[in-house]
Amino acid sequence: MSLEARYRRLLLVLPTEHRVAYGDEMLEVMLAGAEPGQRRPSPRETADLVRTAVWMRVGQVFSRVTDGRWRGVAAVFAVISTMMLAAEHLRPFVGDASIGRAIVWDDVDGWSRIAQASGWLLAAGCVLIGWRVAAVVAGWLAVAAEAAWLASQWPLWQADVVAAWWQWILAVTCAITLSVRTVRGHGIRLLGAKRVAWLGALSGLVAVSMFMDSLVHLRGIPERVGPGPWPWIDVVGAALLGGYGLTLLVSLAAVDGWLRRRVLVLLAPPLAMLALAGSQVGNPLLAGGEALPQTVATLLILPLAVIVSALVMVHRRERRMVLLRLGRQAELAKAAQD
Amino acid sequence: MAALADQPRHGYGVIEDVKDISDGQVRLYAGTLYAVLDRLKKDGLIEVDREEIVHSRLRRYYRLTGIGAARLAERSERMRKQAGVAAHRLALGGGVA
Repeated sequence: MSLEARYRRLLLVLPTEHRVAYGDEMLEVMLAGAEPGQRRPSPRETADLVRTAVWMRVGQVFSRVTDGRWRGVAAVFAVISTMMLAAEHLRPFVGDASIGRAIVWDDVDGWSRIAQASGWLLAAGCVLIGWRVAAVVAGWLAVAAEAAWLASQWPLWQADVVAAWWQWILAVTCAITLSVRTVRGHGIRLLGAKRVAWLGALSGLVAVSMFMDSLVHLRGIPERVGPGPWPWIDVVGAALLGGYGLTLLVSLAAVDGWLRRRVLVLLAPPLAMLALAGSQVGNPLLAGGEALPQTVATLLILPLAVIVSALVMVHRRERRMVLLRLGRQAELAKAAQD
Repeated sequence: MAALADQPRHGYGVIEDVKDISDGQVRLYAGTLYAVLDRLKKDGLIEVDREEIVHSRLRRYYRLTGIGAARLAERSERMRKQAGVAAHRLALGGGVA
């Protein structure tokens, strides 16, 4: 292989745009600077080119993440996910209150649950009002509380940790999106104030509906709940959850495609974990309430694999859409010329 | 930018000039050079002067824009002042100015 061919091969490490713009010039410069009889790129040349390529690619990823579109996505996701997390973490307290069980403060399980519920409730309120910094602080405090809860529960109740892992993924994603600097009220404007109001109201009802679940669990104890059973309770609970899900889908269907696709990318890892391991019954990552050897690796790798796959799918789809649009434009231009 | 201050130069010309004006202290490689040229071009500090085909290969010459020349003048003036201050203090402290 000639020196020129080796330089050409080395240039492939550069991002395509940079290579298209400067590849020929760079080749000319490298060949002009080569020593007589040199057959391979020197280690310094190679290191310089690889370092530049890595730096450029990292810069590209960073600029994609921080561009205006991802800021909008972060704003919308923060609105949706803070309400989801607030509802999810408030449910146990509503359930406890409905059967008269006192809140326990004196262990990690108790205070971390209280910190999570109050943190996400505060974050959701601050997002709606537009107090970004307060929302960021509340969100990360809730994430820290959840980390403490997961760490404290793992030696005792691995099944609880595995079943709650989707909430952790959602919480971390939510805290990251909260931390992205956006214009005040951007997420509400993109989603529509009415839809946000509906989502908020239904989140609240879903949280409050937990008192009915508690009654369902206790309806076999006549002295606590009176005459039963009450089959309508299950129907109302399912209808509220369904209504919330439907409102979320309708809200996402109404926004622009680029926004919807990216919000779904961020929702994909927690939803995948919820579908796979959100329940302690029939959970493929548990055996007899204990984690399997592959459980930890799955919990760590699966969310990353899902989000990377989702990003690649969105990237490919949007690239195909651009090519199709260019093709149509070229056809129209040709037709106009003819 | 200093390499383009007096006349337009192509990539290899810039590398050679940088080596000359730094007494061989700075050796630019193609990766770094074209990352810098790309950044300067996007910032409007340099532009393409002309293109030539030499031995079937593209050779593109770059020159400073008006903004680029002003920026270089400002930077060199600032560095000259700082160097002057350093030399003055060395002289006051008994060092070699």
